[in-house]
Amino acid sequence: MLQFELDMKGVLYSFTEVHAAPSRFPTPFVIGYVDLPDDLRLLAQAGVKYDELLIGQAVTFVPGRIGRSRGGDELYSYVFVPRE
Amino acid sequence: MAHVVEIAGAGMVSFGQFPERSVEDMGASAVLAALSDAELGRAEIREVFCGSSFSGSLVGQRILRELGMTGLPITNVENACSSGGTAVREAVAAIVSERVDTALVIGVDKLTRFGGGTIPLEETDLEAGQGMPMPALYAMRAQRYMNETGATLEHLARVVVKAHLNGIHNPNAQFRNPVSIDQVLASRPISKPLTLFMCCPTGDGAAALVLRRRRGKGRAVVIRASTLQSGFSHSGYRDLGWSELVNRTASLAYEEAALGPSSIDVAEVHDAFAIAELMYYEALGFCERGDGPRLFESGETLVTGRIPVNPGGGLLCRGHPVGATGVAQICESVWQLRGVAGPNQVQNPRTALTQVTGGGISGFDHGACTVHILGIE
Repeated sequence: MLQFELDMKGVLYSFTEVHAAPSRFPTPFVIGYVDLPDDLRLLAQAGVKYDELLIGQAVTFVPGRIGRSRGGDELYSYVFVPRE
Repeated sequence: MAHVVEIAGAGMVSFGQFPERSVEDMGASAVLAALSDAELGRAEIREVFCGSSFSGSLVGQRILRELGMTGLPITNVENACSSGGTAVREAVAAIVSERVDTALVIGVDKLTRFGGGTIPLEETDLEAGQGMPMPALYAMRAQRYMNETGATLEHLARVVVKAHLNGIHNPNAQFRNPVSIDQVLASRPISKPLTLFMCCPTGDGAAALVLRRRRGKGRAVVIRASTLQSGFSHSGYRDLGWSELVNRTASLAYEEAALGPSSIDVAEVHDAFAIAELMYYEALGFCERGDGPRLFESGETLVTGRIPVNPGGGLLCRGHPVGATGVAQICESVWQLRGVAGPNQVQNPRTALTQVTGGGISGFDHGACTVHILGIE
């Protein structure tokens, strides 16, 4: 497996505020598709609130807590936030 | 395909929340109803196909044991929401290949076993691992679609109102109550902008069909097309506002049946979420891309319109016990073509189309889609 460093200049393609999900992901949370350069689209939770986001917004990724694992540990992943 | 396969019988149980009914019990009731409709005895069935997504191992065998129909070739089929449709396609192929003359198809699922909440997605799936439940995918489609076509939340609400008006007259529907636009918009959010009433309910149910090699020239409902496709997997920019998979599957069905969308007199469309109905109008060719809201506003998809869609209330009101839906859509289409659909009878339909589209897995439009085209001769 090869490793690549991704260009983190993302554009928000679509998003939603989730109110019904498996219990290890406490609701509500925002999730969305972020388009990165070179034809890559990532699904990730947001690090900001629903009302702060718009389709087409410039975003980037930071680490953030997204819920719990099946075993009950804290689960961290990349979350998207607005970028200047 | 020559019109080799006829639908000799159709039967289903009401869909709803039935904690006291087992998968075996519902399946057996549906089978007996279909056999009775076909005026055939159990011994006439030579092969069975059973579509189900969440009912465990050997569903067909467990159902047929209730009826003493054991020892037959039984194929259990799983393809998410397209399980029932895929089971029908397998039965059609078995008859067309002359392996068998008369086959039974069952579709069944019991979603109340999960005790409510969203359908569980595969834990190893990358997007499920980020917390994505199924309604979120449709909600994001809705956001894009509204962004691109000018469709509004009110359009979505009116789709639900139409479904409920149709569901009132469907004795097998889970919901038979009218709702207002305000009630739809005010129901609790599931995944913004989708509210509870914009989502099909969880429930239980079963449906069955008896398929037979066409013989003689008597009046019969025949299968003109039976197509199945899977979604393409993308890691990149796929178009969420357009259902490529449904369009591809439907195009193959029209080609197989040698007719176009304008020949369809009544359609059962996979309205698991209100947004899906508008998108699938376009993907099925009932209107141009982007014109879904306009087609809806024209009234042409009402029971009295040019292309009635979901005259029995669709998934939104009939319900969506996943494996049963594809088979139930065909049952309701059979009754429409025969002219026995009751108050929601479409005037003189000759050709019907049914479409189910299933599954949420990362990077796919959806996992599977089946489209059937039926005719009456």
